[in-house]
Amino acid sequence: MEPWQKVLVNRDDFLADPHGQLACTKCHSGDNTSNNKETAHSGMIVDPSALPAKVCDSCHYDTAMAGTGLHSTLGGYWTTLEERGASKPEHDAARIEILMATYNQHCGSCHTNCQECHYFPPNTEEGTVLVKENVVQEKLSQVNHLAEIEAMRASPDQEAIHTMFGNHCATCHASCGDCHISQPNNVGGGFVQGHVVMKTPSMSQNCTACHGSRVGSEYLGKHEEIPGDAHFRLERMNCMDCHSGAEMHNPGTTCTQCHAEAEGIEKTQDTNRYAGEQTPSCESCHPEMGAWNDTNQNHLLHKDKLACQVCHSVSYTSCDGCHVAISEKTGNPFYETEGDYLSFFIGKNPNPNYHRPYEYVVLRHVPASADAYNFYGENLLPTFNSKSTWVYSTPHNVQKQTPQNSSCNACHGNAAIFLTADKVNPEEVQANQDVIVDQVPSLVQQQIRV
Amino acid sequence: MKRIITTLLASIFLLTACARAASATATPQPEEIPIIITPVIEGAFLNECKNCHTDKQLLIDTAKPVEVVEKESSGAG
Repeated sequence: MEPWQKVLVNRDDFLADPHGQLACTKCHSGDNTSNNKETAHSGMIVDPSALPAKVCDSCHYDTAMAGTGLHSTLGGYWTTLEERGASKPEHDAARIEILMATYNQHCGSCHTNCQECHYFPPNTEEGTVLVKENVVQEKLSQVNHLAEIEAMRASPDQEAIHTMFGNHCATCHASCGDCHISQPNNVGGGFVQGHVVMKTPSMSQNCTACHGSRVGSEYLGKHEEIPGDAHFRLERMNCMDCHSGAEMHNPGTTCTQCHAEAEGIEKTQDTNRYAGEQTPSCESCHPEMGAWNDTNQNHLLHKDKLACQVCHSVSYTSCDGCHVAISEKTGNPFYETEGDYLSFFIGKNPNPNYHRPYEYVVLRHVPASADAYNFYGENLLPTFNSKSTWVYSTPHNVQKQTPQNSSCNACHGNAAIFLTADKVNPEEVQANQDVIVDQVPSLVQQQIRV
Repeated sequence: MKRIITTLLASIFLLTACARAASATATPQPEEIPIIITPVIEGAFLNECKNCHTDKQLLIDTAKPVEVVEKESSGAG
């Protein structure tokens, strides 16, 4: 997109939009009376939907809680980082309430007013302040200030991981405008429809602009000789046909909005992406699958044993060894992955639960590595092996017919499509114990009727 | 003349009576809600922001030169 295209407002369409009735400066600040570019843009807020302005929230109360959605908080990244041993500082800017509570607990209980320790003598030169040494000494004797300061300060490792997160992970943060007005910044930005506020984001310029290298390429069939997802290829369904606005905005604040009581309390504590209800689930559109009236014997036999993708997805992208750093040449953050390749592996479900009771799921290798953040500090992921590097995945390249479902023994006894220990990098075997298949399902004698 | 006036008065009486009877038996119509057309607040958008940002040529003329940033990342993001 050319620079002028990125900021060209479609006058007619934007004026027809209720947002076009507002003065530009209402959201963007700046000076709308100046025809000088520099003056007009002085104090301008480029993306007023992002922190700290968040102007959308002032009218859209119902979706204001989008601030708690994963697109905004990138909470999924922190979940994974913390599972691998990284520690999030408790008092970064995003946790201002905790910071204030910490301050009140540690400082505010003693330092209540200036006069308690200081004396401002009358009839002296302005600014003369004396210290009430006896009061100060008494307070000092009561509190170990060094320990208190240490308690408030992030550890060096926390600071390092937080800096890394801000330089790299946070570039994927999405504001309201990144989905409803412009392309996200990390793919170049620019208005999608001349600043018209789109109720439904563009699949190509918003959703897959970020979710492109894996989901987008698989869904749209960009890998050579691998067809796109049947939902796109045959029905031209876009992302929003399955992933609703409610799912994106994530206004849910109660446990039971995502979890059923029958799950058990220990499961509702899980925070990973595959812990809660499947939104969407395949059955929400295909309710007959595995139901009593399903005529497909394979569905009846494998229901609850296999995730749908085990039979209905094909090769998808896996990546190895991502490392991040700051360029010595330009000062810009960058990443390098050791490789990406197409793979298809069935593995054990690492966390069977109420909504996903499956024994087998499809696994994708993620580009995590123990030394991924070594640029920022040594051993920042001290419990790296506590989370697998081959992870439960839901590839977006669903097909009715696949190589593995062409016959019973295309899957049963076919070791090539199961993640066995010999296919795992020796350094990662320990981390992947929960997903490695020890015994490949044996060949079956009888072919079933489909 | 008197006959004509009598006929006219009778006609008016009959027409008025029929009209009342008709309105009394007609299905009640929903009350028409006046449509309020909100005028476009021209002043809100029609300002220097709009003058520039709807003018393609002006945007081209005033755009900063594109800095070609060398791509340093590699691999699938």
